[in-house]
Order: sequence, then C-alpha cells, then structure tokens
Amino acid sequence: MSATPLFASSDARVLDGIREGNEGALVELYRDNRKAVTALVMRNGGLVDDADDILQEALVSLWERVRTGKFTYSARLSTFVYATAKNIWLRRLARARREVPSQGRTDDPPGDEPSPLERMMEEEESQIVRRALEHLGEPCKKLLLLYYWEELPMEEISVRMGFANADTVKSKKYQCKKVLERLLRNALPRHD
Amino acid sequence: MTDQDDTHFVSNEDLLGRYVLGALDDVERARLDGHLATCPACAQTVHQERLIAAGVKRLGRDELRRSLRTRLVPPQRDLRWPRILAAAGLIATLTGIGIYYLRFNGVPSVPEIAERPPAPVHGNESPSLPQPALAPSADQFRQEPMRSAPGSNALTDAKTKSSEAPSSQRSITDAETRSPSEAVRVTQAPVHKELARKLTEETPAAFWAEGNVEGPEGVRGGAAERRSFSGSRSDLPVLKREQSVNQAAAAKDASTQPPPQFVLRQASSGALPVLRQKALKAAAQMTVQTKVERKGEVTTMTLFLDSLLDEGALRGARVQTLGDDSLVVTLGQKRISYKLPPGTTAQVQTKK
Repeated sequence: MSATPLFASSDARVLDGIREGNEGALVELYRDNRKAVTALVMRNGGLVDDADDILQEALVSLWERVRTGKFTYSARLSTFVYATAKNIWLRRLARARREVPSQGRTDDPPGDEPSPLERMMEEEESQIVRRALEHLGEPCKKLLLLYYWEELPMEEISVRMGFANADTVKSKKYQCKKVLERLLRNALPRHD
Repeated sequence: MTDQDDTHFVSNEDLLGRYVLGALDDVERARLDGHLATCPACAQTVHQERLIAAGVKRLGRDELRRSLRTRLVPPQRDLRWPRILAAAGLIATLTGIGIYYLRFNGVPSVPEIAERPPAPVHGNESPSLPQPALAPSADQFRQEPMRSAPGSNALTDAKTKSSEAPSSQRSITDAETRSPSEAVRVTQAPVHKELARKLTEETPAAFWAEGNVEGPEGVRGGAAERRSFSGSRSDLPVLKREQSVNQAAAAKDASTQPPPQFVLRQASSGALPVLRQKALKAAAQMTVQTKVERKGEVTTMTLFLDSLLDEGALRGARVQTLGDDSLVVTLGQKRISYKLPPGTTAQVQTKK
C-alpha cells in the first residue's frame, strides 16, 4: 500500500507535464519503457529500430489523448504505453500479412477498419495535406494545430493567440483553410 | 438545432470542425449525418475538412516526434563530452609530467630524437581503441539516431565514415591476419554499447539481424561499392534443396571446455516472414535477413538468401568474431557483417 502513492505521484507528475506541454515527460516515459517494448518487438520479428518507432508512436498517442482530454487514467502509464505499443506492432504485423487484427486486439471497434485501398488513399491524401501545411505561414500553422491537433475550443485559441474573441478565430481559421485549399486544389482528387 | 441550421451546416466553421473531430453529441451528429446523405456539396466539404484535420494531426505528430528524437539524443552525447575532456586533461597532464621527467633527467629532447631514424613498426601492435570514435559516433547518432544493435550496421557504418574513424577499417582487415584473441573491437558509438548492454540483459533466444553484404574485395567503406555488388545478386548457383552446415568451432589446441558451436544455415528469402521481406526490399543496400537462435552453447544463424549456395561454398564459409558483439561471415567472395548483442558471439575458429 505504501508503494501506491509513489507510483501514483510519478504518473501524476508525468501526466501534469504532458498537460503543460512539457515534452520532457515523454522522454521520461520513453526511457522507462524502452526495454520492455524493445523485447516485445524483437520477440515478434522486429528490430530495435522498429521498437523505437513503435514506442515513439505510442507516446505520441498518449500525448494526443491527454492533451485532448480523451485519456482516462485506469492503470499505470507504463501499462498503457506497453499495451498501446503492442497494439500498434500487432496491427503492423497484421497489415503486413493482409489480415484483419483479431477481435479485442485493436482500439477500433470491429467493422470500422477501412479497407487497405481506403487506408492507402487516406494516407496519400493526408500526406499531401501534410506537405502543403509546410507552406503555410506560422500563425496559420499554429492556429490549425491548436484546433485540429490539440482540439482546443475557439475561445481558448483566441486567448493563446491573442485574438479578440472566438469569432476572430473562426474567421482566421477560414482564411487559413482557403490558403491551404488553394495549395491543394490541383493536388487532391474529388471525392464522390 | 433547427433545420435551417442543418442546411449546409458546413458554412459554420466551428460546427464543421466539431463534426469532423467527433466533438458533437450523438443526437446532433445523427442529424448532420442525415443531411450529408442528401447533400453532395456538403459531403465534399466534410471530406476536405477531414483531410485537413488528418494532415494537421500528422503534422503535429511529426513535429512532436522530431522534437522527442532531438531530446533523446543530447543526454547521451552530453555525458560523452565531459568524459572526453576529462580523459584529454588526464592524458595532457601525464604527458606533461612525462616530458618534464624526460627533459630534465638526461633524455634527449624532441629535436634530438627527430634526428634519429624512425623505430620499426611492429606488425603485432594492436591499434589502440580509436579515441575519435567517440566524436564520430556523436555524428553517427545525429545522422542515424536510432540505428543500433542487432541487424544494425555499426560495423559498416563505421567504415563508411572512414574519415572520422579510419582505424575501424583497419581493425577488420587486421583481424583476418591475427588470432581472434587479438581481434580489435570494432568502433562503435557509446550509445550502441548502452543499447547492447541493455539488450544483453534480455536478449531473446531468437531474434532477427540484418547482415550487410560487403564487396568482393573485402571490407571497404562507401555505399558505392555495395551498390555495385548488389547488381550480382543472382550470380550464385541455385540449389534445389536447403542445406545446412555445421561449422564447429575449435582448434585442437583449444581449451579443455568444449568450444561454443556456430551453425550456419541457409534458406530461401522467399521463406521470410512478410515483415522481413518488406525490410529486405526497403533496404537501401544489399542486406541478408538472418535469424539468430541461441540454445545453450550453440548459436544458429539462418541466412535467408535470394539464391542458395552450393554445398562447397557454405561448407567453406568462415565466421569471424570481432570483439564480443560483431561478426563477419565470409562466403566465398562475399562478406556479410553483423552487429549482434554482446554475448551472442564467441571466439570462433573455423575449420579451413
């Protein structure tokens, strides 16, 4: 019982760090979990580079969930990180074998998994958008990241970026998207 | 929400965004789903919004990962430089003391020594562990931050950076002419040592490694030579059946303990698991996917080759260890180099 407060406080500290945007918290988690994830991946046909990649992806997933308020703390962070890494790796293996992951092993409910072709098209299109975003100015990039990546409400974005109010943010977002759409107009296929 | 609001709701930036991000309640979402089913224009707008959201999330993840990688690198390098400086300081101090002693105790000064003919170079001198390896490994890590340990190519990475660590090239050639006990540890970045140390503690009984195929002349630096060699992948004779050769390690004058055994097998690359096939195709240079399995004193390496070797070539294979974590397999004109976790290899003497 005396160990529990120590464990809870270290995870709480990490979670607080993530909420505050402190990437050092992720570094701490990376170092704590690298051994276990490396062993997992290597036991399942992967290399050390794969393990590092998987672990980073798991940590980014945790970061996203915590920052968008979608994370529920129900087990140790190391358990979450390991389970997420395992899921990601098994999905990669399954995709490589062109199999559907077995039930209960993915985060997505059965039936929601896109087909390989759909996935490929989505990947390509999002990659095109990703590249186009690099050509946006920093204010637009920051606004869109706060809205779509951090999923902050317009009111909070207006405070962070020094805009007058949420309506100003809406207007700026619209303008930034128009610029982006101009960049993408000839690059993306029409969806029917 | 009124029907008026439903009509072309996509003109409402916030509503559109929240719909795409899944931030609406079920009732609201269901209503908008109904509208999209009958409005192709709005469906198109929603599709584009989804792409923008996906692209922005991807950007966010990429930037976070880039930042994470940057943070993961410096602490190990930071530890390195103080040690280098401390070692350099110690060497400088000892050198100063030595010069002082020699100078003032009747030993000729440097100009006097320079007038003498140079001392002969002794062939058996072991090159010292290359000090600059610590520096180039920092660059190595900066360029390839996560490349290390099984399958990784620290062996050939060190050779491609010949200007930074020339002694690493020398070490492999030298190892061929000297007994394994004198084999020089191949240059490796401290970060690799750290990873290798960690892997030793939990190295599984079986794992995959990637061997880099060297040119027919032996170990050389430069990707160009490897590329030129890759054009001859199909020049080996094709066998109809899989062969395995037991390369028992030990000379008759070895220690009383039975020497560790190294078994070399070959299999067709077509039998590789899908992930390993993808890795093989994705490799920028010629690699051999290899499964390493350890059972007691026996280490079995199964080389997955595009074209199987004839019995003579496999039986004539030479396996040389360098240090306790590097291995070179020589198959005729081809050399394949590996970096494996420490403890996996052993001092191996192959029968000629």
